[in-house]
Amino acid sequence: MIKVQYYLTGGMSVLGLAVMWSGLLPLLLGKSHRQWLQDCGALIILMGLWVMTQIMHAEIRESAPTMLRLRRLCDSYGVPYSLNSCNRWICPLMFTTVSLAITIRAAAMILRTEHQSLRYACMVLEAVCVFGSVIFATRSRSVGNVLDKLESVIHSGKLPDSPPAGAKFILLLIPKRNREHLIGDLEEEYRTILVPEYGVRKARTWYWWQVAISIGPLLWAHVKRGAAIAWLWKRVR
Amino acid sequence: MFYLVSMQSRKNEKCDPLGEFETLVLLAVVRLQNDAYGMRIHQELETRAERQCSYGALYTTLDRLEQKGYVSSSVGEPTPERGGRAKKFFRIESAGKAALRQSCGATRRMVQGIEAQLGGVS
Repeated sequence: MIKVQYYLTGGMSVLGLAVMWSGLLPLLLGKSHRQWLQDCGALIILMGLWVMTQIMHAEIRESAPTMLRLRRLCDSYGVPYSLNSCNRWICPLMFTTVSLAITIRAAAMILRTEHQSLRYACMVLEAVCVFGSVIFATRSRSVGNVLDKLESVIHSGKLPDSPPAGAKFILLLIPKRNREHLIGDLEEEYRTILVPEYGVRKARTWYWWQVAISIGPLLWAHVKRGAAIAWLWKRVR
Repeated sequence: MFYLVSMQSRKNEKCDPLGEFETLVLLAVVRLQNDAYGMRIHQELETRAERQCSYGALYTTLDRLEQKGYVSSSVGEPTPERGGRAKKFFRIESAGKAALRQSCGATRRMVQGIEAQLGGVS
């Protein structure tokens, strides 16, 4: 059924374009006929766009649970889920603009009006429709990118809930005395409490925050101890 | 020599006063008994005392308490959820218990009789 709809959309767009271009033949037709044909072509294209929007709407509705699963998978593997939630407003917007454009075009065609403002309004609405279609196209590409990243993470065998490597690297600055235990404590809390309860993204943020606020007091204590030893050494000498 | 001995005996009689955070950490160590290690102490402070603190501050305090002889530490077995790292368990010593008694006693004595003014002490 969807295939038929796609063919219908494609066929309508081609037909519409053909009719529009035929309206540009100045030698064969008079001005009024040319205008009528252009309107007719645009109307066919708009109707094709309307059908396409309907197909996209149906597909988005069907793919919602899949996208949710993808988001959860990304969360558990720590892959950034960079897809926006534009579906909520793009589909209704496109429906409204396409319907309005169709109505205006049809009215202009039936009434055979030469009013330019109606045509400009129609062009604006059509531009909005094209913008919506571009957003859909980029979104499909983003889904592909997210899937690629997810696949590479799964194939690299990286643990799904390991703490950020950069933060762990910074923790190497901590004096050796407490380093192992502190990293172990952070990792245990991260794995056993934070990730199951809040998800990877929030857990990672927490980990970075803990590293940032922990490093100061430990380094300061180390510096103070070093300064005290230096002072004592100076006194003894 | 005499000075050192007298200082030591005075120290035994009266220990260093504990700070608020040190008291909380010591109480958490006592409460957790044999399971008192960094993460559990941190959790205890956050849930029971509703005190947000960093691991850095916690370990600095535990180090200070260890230097004062209030707690002692021992290293446990490494576990997989800690990435194969060992736990550092803490145990309260008799000097720590004395300091805690003194600190809690002082607070209790100060609060005595003014509970109503404080709107009830829970």
